[in-house]
Amino acid sequence: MYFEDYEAIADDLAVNIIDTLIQEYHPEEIIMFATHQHTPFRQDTYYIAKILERKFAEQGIKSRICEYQSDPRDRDQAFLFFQKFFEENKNLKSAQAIVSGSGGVPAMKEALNFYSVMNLIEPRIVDVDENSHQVMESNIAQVYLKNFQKESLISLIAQHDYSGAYQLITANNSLIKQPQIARHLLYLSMKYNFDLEQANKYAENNNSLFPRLQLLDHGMSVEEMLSVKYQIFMLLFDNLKITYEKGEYTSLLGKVFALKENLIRYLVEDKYQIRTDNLTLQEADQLLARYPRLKEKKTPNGKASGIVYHFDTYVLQQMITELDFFDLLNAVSSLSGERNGSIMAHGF
Amino acid sequence: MSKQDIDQRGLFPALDKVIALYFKNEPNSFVQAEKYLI
Repeated sequence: MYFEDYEAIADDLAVNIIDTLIQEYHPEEIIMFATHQHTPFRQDTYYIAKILERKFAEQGIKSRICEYQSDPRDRDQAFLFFQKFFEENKNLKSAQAIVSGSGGVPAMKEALNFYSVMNLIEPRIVDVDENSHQVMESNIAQVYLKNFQKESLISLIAQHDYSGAYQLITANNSLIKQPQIARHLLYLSMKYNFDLEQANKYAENNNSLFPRLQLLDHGMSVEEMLSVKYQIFMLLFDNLKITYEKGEYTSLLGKVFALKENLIRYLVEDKYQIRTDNLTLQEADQLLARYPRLKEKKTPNGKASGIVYHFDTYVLQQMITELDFFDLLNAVSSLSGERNGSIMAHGF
Repeated sequence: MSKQDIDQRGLFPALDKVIALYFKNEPNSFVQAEKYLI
């Protein structure tokens, strides 16, 4: 048969597999992958595809031909071809795609199925019995895809990427059956990002599925404040270690400086059982009177610096000379050069 | 900023020392939650 003979045979033209699929799924568009090698080969399907393109047009079905110009038995080329096809057709990702596994050369079928599973959200890979016209739909692709995504999910969690894991789940509703996993991940993401108020609200809205995180309140007694700060430091330590393991070193640096300043303050407050926030000048004077060593240290030239009254970090640091965490202060201080030279600070 | 920058300054041994001195050395709460999820 020749292409030019189409009119003569059009009424008798039957393509069992594709006709069955059209009848079953009523596709809006058919994409045909046809071989059209540089050196023409008798089994190339390009001209058959051209005939079918005309037939589909007459049936009112949109179609297009994607030419494959390499040897269809070449597995490497077949995989590259379909990889490129899906890269160039990202709009297909969410399409309700029916992928025919019937017909074709093994390497081409393998590559098409592989990239369909990898690129399409819900691929339906079907086979047709050309004698009985029975459609056999297998969900093995979805099972494989789900397993692959589950492995990705576990890997993201193991790498402490709670936000990424949560996004993977929300993009694939059918990935996991237990909704509490998504809730846990969102809660962990809030906790990791110190969005503590939001995390508590989220916990309340989920029947207190998660422990309430303690927050500071200006009305607290010294004892209550110290207890809450203690819990916050435990959270900060855990966070620092996770940030380090994730390899987010710049973010770690910012957190370390916050840790240093707050830790100094906390240890002083704990040692002297005092609050150092919101002090009036009078209260500061009273404290300084109780701890004259502090004043002596800070005012070697006999001047009462304003810094003393505000109990800033430098002053607090003077109070804890007897506390044993100089190694940490030294480590953080030695990192300050890195921080100051970076674009996070004065590096511009 | 790199891992080497952090390691060279002995940040984590120093931090562990502070935790041991002033805080409870409990399992990391994030890692505990991950174990539950995985």
